[in-house]
Formats: sequence, C-alpha cells, structure tokens
Amino acid sequence: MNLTLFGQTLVSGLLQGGIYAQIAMGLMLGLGVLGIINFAHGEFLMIAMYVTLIVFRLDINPYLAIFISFPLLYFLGVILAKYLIIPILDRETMAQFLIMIGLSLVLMNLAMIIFSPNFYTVKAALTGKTLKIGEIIIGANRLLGFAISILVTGALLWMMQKTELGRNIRAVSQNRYAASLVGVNVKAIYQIAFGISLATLGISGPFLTPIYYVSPNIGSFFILFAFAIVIVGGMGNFKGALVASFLIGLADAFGAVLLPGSTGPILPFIFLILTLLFKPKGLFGGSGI
Amino acid sequence: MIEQTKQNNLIKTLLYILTIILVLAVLKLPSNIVHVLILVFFYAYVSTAWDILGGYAGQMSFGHSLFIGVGAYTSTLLLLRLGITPWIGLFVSGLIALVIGAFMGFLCFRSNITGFYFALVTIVFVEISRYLSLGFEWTGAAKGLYIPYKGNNISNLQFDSKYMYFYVIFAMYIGILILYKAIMKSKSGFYFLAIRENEEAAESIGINTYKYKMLATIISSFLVGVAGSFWAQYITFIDPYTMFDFMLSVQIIFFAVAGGRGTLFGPLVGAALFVPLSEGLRTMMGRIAGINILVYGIILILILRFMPDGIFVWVKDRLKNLSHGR
Repeated sequence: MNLTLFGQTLVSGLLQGGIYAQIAMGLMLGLGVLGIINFAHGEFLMIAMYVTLIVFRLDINPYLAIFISFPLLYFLGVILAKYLIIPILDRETMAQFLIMIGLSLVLMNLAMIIFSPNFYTVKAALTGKTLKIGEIIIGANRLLGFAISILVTGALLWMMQKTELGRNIRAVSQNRYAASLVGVNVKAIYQIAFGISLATLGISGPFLTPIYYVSPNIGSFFILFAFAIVIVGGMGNFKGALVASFLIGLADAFGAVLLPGSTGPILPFIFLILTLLFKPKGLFGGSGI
Repeated sequence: MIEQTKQNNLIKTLLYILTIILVLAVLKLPSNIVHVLILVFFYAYVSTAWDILGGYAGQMSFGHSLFIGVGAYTSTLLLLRLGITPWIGLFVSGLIALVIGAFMGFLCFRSNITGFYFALVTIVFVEISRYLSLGFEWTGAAKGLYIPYKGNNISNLQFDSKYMYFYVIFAMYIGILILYKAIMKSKSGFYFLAIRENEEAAESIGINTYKYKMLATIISSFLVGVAGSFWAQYITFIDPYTMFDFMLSVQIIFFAVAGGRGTLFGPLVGAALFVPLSEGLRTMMGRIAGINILVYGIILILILRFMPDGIFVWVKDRLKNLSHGR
C-alpha cells in the first residue's frame, strides 16, 4: 500500500465515519431516552431519501427537500412514539426489538411496493465536482454530506448538554420517576426525543442522497454499522459513539482496500466482535447520557 | 378431572388419525400443495430447533440462517467437490454448524453477552459468512452452486417427485418433536427454563449457566445445520444471498414467536398459518415484490402487541376460559 492510497483510504474512512456518526447519534437518542432499540432507524433515513428523490424528479433543487423531510420525520417520530412505542415500553427488550424489526420490514417493503426495488440516483449541484488535496481526491457531495452530518451531530450534542429541553431529556433517561416528580412531562419528552431522533435523519437525508443510491435496502446498509458504533462506543455514551464512528468508518474503508475481493465489509464486523470479546461494555464504557 | 383426561385422550387420538390421513393424502395431492407442505414442515422443524435456544433457553438468536447456510454449503461442497453422498453430508453439516455455533456461544456467553447484544452478534455472524461465501470462487461466489440431478435415487437424496421430500422432512419434524419433548422433561430442560426466567437466580442456586447455554446452542445449531443440507437437496440451488439472509433468520423467529415461543407445537402453528398465506400472496400478487414480507411485518407487530405469548397460547387460554364457563 503506497502513501497516496493510504491517504486516500484514510480520508474516505473519516468522511464515511462522520456520516455514520450522525446516524448512530439519532439511534442512540432513542435508545438512551426510551430504551428502545430502533431497528427501523435506517428505514427512516430511507424515507428522507425517497422524499429527496421525489423533489428531484419534480425538477426542484434536491437540497430543498429538507423543508419536507425534516418536519415529516419529526412528525412521524412523535406519532410512532405515541401510538407504537410508549405502549410497549414496559415489555421485555426482545419483544420490543422484534416489534421494531416488524416496523422495519413494513417500511422497507412498502417502499419496494411503491417505488419498485430499483436503484435511483439523485444529481445535485455538486455532483461530479471534486476537491484535490495533493494526490488525494475528495468528492464534493461526500464532503458536503460529511459537513452536514458533523453539524447535525454537534447540534444534537449541544442541545443535550446546554438547553432546557436537553436537560429534561437527560433527566427522563436517568430516572423517569424522579423526573416526573419535579414536573417533567415524561410522555411528552418521550415523543419529542423520538421525534428529534428521526428528525436528524430528515436534515441529513437530502444531503446524503446524492452520495448513495436510493433503494429500499439502503436502511439495512446503515443500520448494522450504526449498531456496531453504539456498541463499540458504549451504550448511551455519546462521545464514545463519536470516536467509534470514525473507527468503524476507517475499518470499512481499509477493509475495502486490504481484504480480497468483496470481503471488505467484514473488517468493521470483526472489529465489533473483538470489541465485545475484550471490552463487552464498549471501548469507552456505557455511561447513560 | 377424569372427564378431562378422557377428553384429552379423545382429542389426541383424533389428532393421530388426522396426521395419518394427511400423511397418506400427500400421495394424491397436486405437487404445488405438496411444495407448500414441505415448506411448512421445513420451517416448523427449523423454528422448533431455534426455539430450543431462543424460546426455551431464552437466548434469542437473530442469525439462524447462518446454520442453514453452513449446512447447505457443507453438504453441497462435499457432494460437488468430493462426491460424498448427502446422507453423510447431512451429518457433517450438522457437526460443522455445531462447531460454528459453539464458537459463537463461546464468544458471547464467556463474556456474558446476552439479550440484544447476543442478537446483534448472531446477525453479524451471518453478514460475515455471506461476504466470505461471496468472496471465493471455490464456494461458487455470487453465482452460487447448482446440484445436478442424477436421477431418482435414495442414496443421492434426490427424488423425481415432491412427496418423497415431504416424507423426509416430515420424519425429521417428528424426530425433533420427540427430542424437544425429551428436553422439556429432562434436567437440562429445567435448567434452560431457569436461565430464561432469571439467569442470576439460576446461577445463584448453582446452575452452570455457561454450560447450559452452550448446550442449548450446540443442539440448536446442529439440528438447523442438518436442515440446511435437506434444504439444499430440495431446492438444488444455493447462493450467498438466499442462504445467509437476515430475512430468513427473521422468518425462523417469526414462526416460533407467532405460534408460541417455548411451546411444543407453537412453531408448527406459526408455520402452518403463515407459510400458506405467504405463498398464496406470492402466487396471487407475484408482480408486487415484497407484499408477503410486508404482511409478515404487520402480523409480527400485531401479534407481539396483542398476543405476546403467541397464537397457540392465546387460543389455549381462550379454550380454557370457555371450558370454565367464562
């Protein structure tokens, strides 16, 4: 492996990691607050991407889809929390997990029925443009997707730490009974938190769409990486997840270069298994929010 | 009490007679219906095997397609590359699935990985296996492997009519029922239950939980590995996408959960209700890809929401209430 290839792989791994980070953060918000393992998280990104596709097909700038996908996903999150998730919160974890798998199947196959299993591409203003740093080439779309992802992640972390809403969310996730005693409306917080968890995908979706193909399976492409990140970083540990995102992104990029044929994607998974083996609580320990 | 035992015996006798009629009737049924029956008993068998680990010992694997894939690939590669009969391949498949299951169990249970974490590791194992089988020409890569038809011959485990396959899988299903019942009544079975209900408590009364979780895993993976070989012989074509498939894992769980997790006949009830539904949807609305999985998803949500113990237990409770005059 020469230096250019190494640099190129390093950069694309970091870019990929930044995108994964934002998806994993939203997942972790639902996990940390409601304790729900949202297996359908990737399918909500899929919804945002199909919204972008429709907007693009109407000859409108695809980035403007954010004005639909952001409120739509927030609204979906609130509705789902209210009618599907809050009623099952006292059930055993695996029953919840299975229900979320059911939801994932429903959304994925609805998309397949409505939009066909075909792959679609969306062209944005930056498609085809590249940035050159020395020998290393970076796709402009990818760079924008990365920037937006980091922005969303940063905003989410800021909201959790610094705002009144963030404090309430953390209070509920630490002790829902005590939070309700001091006057926090726990059910409302659940709905808002899950709404935000999905809305993050509504923001990044339009910017990620030009990078990837839009297809019913796009959600399952992301979800396993997102789960790997949550576990490698430590359940509920936001900063750990941020670091883990880049580690998984790098493992993904280097796997594609170093491993033979199409076996590349196994490297992040092997990394996950090794983590579980030696550090079952994640590299940085689970810490709540 | 005596009245009830008599009634139970009557129901049992009727069920036996019904089973015998069904088994004989298969000879006269059209082949597409026999195909559905084969699917029903195949899934019932695999779900029951899953249930030993997932339902009875409470360790929910979301990656049991791993063992179907391993079984299918083992016997097929033995047949194609070394000319070994699938009857031997069947057992080798089971053994290799057992070794892989033991490795997975060792990884997880040694560091106390259970619940959702265990589920995720099992999913990841399937992903790794799919990429590995895609990556090498020797395993047929993305093109998959064909089992050539060498004539109606029991020593090849190949038949010219579907009903022989039905008898093989039906016999396998009866076998696993007997085994399941034996496990339920054995000391290990009680330990499995204790681990499922409260692992810490089980540990504290001196049950070696690691040992019994491993035992459940290797029994389950061996049995599913064998089924994988049967499956390859029946459909005669295997590839990484249909074998190491997350959806296949979910279906295996679905039948057990829908019918009744941790019950003897739950998986059969689940498979008997939903395999024909899925096949029917596929034939009637074949142009709409994904409709059968969509329906599975909706049913999965509804059953878990409203009948958490599955249909089998739900119906049994209703019948009990009826007979008590409520």
